[in-house]
Amino acid sequence: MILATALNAYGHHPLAWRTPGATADRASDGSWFASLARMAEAATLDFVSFGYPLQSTALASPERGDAIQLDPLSLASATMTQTHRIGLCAAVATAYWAPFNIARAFSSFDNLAEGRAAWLVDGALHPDDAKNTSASVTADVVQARNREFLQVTRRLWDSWEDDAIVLDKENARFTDAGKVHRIDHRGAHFTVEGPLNAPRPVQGRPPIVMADQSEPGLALAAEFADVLLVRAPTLEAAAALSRSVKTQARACDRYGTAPRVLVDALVATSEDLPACDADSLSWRGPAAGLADLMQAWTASGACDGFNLLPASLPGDLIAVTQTLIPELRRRRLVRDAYEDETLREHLGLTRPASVFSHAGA
Amino acid sequence: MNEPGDKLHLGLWMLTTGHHIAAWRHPDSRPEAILKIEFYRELAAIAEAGKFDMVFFEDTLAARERNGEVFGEVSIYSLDPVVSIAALALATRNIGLAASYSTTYHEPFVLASKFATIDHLSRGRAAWNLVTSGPAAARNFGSAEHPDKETRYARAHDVVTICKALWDGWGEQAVGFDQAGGALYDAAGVRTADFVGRWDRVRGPLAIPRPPQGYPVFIQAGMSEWGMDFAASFAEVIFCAARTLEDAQRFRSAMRERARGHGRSPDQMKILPGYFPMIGATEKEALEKEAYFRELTHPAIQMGLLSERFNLDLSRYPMDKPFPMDDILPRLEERPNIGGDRARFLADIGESETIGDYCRKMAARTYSSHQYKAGSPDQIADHMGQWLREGGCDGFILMPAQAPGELKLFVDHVVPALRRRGLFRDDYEGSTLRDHLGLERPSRPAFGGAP
Repeated sequence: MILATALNAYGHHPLAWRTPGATADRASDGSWFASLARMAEAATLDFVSFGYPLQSTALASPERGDAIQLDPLSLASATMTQTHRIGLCAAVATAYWAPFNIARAFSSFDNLAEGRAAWLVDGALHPDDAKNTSASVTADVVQARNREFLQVTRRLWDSWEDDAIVLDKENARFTDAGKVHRIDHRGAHFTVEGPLNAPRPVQGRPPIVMADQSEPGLALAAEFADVLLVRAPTLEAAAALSRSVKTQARACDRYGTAPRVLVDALVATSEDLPACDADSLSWRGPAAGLADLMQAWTASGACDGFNLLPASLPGDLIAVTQTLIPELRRRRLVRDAYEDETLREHLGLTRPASVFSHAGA
Repeated sequence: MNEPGDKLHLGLWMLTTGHHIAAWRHPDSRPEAILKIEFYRELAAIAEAGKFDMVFFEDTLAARERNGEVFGEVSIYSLDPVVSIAALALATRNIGLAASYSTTYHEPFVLASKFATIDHLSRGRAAWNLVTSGPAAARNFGSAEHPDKETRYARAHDVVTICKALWDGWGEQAVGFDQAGGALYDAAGVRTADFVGRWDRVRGPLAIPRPPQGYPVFIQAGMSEWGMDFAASFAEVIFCAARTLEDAQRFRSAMRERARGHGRSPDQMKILPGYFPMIGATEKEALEKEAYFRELTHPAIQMGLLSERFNLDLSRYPMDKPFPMDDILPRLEERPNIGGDRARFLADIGESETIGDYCRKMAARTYSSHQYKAGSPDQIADHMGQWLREGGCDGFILMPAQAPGELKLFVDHVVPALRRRGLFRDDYEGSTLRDHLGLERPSRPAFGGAP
């Protein structure tokens, strides 16, 4: 099964920041996040994400432990030198960015990190965001704009063919210019000539992660997502979401496999924090006990894996690595060691060819 | 003039395998490594061992083209510089991390969030070189045309105002972390920016506490009239191009005067011209190395560079004839006037009898407008010292011909020569980039107060 975890400063329980041991500086301390990422890597998880759950750029109220939010892409980038194999996923909002900048940032990230980058697409229109941007994305166009955004980003990643960089010192040929293409995109929302000013990502296209399970969100995921994160309180609810996105994906013109569906699982292994009401899967008790549930859900096809949300950090992540992972390994449900280099390979996803490589250029 | 005790500030301009146009063809160069973070980590570690003030990554928002076509002789891409410095934040301990980023093609809220984040991650070592981007960028951002310089600088001015207001949003003690009372931060210590301008509307506050340096260090590189005045209004480090000490002195005193005109202390603005050394054990060896690099310059590279500059395919013209000025001038007008180099460039080609002459003369350097010196470590140290002592600069932004080899040579041989002359620090004396540069940490203005 596929396992990811979402990292933040204190944990995913709203009261986690108020537990003993939590300190003020963690929220802005890169070495803290690096230590959490290394812990997840020791557990051979597929990827860690930063900036999940998605939220508005507006400052949250003071009682919220996640009120302080560093830029997720910078945080994910900083952890690349502190880890070696684990995938690094960063949330970036389409409302604030142009496709060219996103494509370039993730191509840079994926190249520098040698194929470990993923983009958690935040395509939502958070009500407070409009106060912090001059971009005029409105509810009636957001879906169409996101779709076009992803099409453009994909073509920009493809604009450099895989073998465009030749590095022939003898003949002074750094690049085979014939393998670098304009995309000449003219759409309702974007006009982008290209090519990208960064070479093709190591993964071809960094995996696209989405987390919107509304009807339009599922439709977008069916077309573009490699991984879909969902909230589901029961196996049946998870199965219904998986079925919906995978059925829609089959009808789409997309490369490779249907989206991998990961169910959010809040993991609370201590009794210190009260249970929280949630419309999503929440586990309380020794971490190893979660293995039965995980096995049952994945075996039934309700999901492909889980997005573990430690209730309190670092305690619940430590519990995951020390008890849950060994139990899952014993059942041969997760890897004992990384066998591959890139995140795409960890996830068992095919590497997409550039659309230009068949252009006969 | 600088005071006798003043020391040089040194930045390393990170440019893949080096600043010589043919550097990637050097036998020691590993162009296959330059897409991986380990390469930049190695360069940053060398610069940090040399106690440099900072490393710097440039920014362009379009693949390089000439005559409307991408080309192959040199690298034409430019990785995202902010991703690069973020990636180095936890891999370095002391050295400053500077990146150019465009005020024209990024949202101010995003810019403020990113540089605040990197300042936190690096514990006070971030710097931002504000650039407004060249005209080639427009085609990748849906704009019919690139905004004119006046508009770009006016917007950049607004962006500076917005970013300062966002970074000032959080009081120094606003992260109260009152666990018992249930308040992660003190709401009374955080205020909105409430900026409404011609281009931008930003309410704030950021979800990020005030950066460790107050503001990341501001860098600017404009040498036009507009650029100079804009830079003098806020920039704390100025990157510039100066070919002679006299040019440098003139520029530096003009900038210091302008800073005074904006009510700023000129000592809070460090002027760092680009410096391209060619280092040999002796002067003779340095000149031999220069000749070697010239040999490495494939004619296609030199001609390609010129053609890119003119946006004109010069291979159609004979090398042994003068430049076709009638064809060049109109093209040159369309090019960005980076660092005001258009005039210098015209002066240069005026001195060259033929296209071939110019190519041979300029082959040693990528950027002909920067300071170039071939010599022994002592000669280079003396030369740098003269520029400092005679008021031509406050330091340099180093452009090694090749990397990591020529950078290592500078750190191992020129830096000790500078130290023997009392021109460069033995070790870091503070922990933030502001400490290294001798810049004050901006205090947070009172509510409603001017910065």
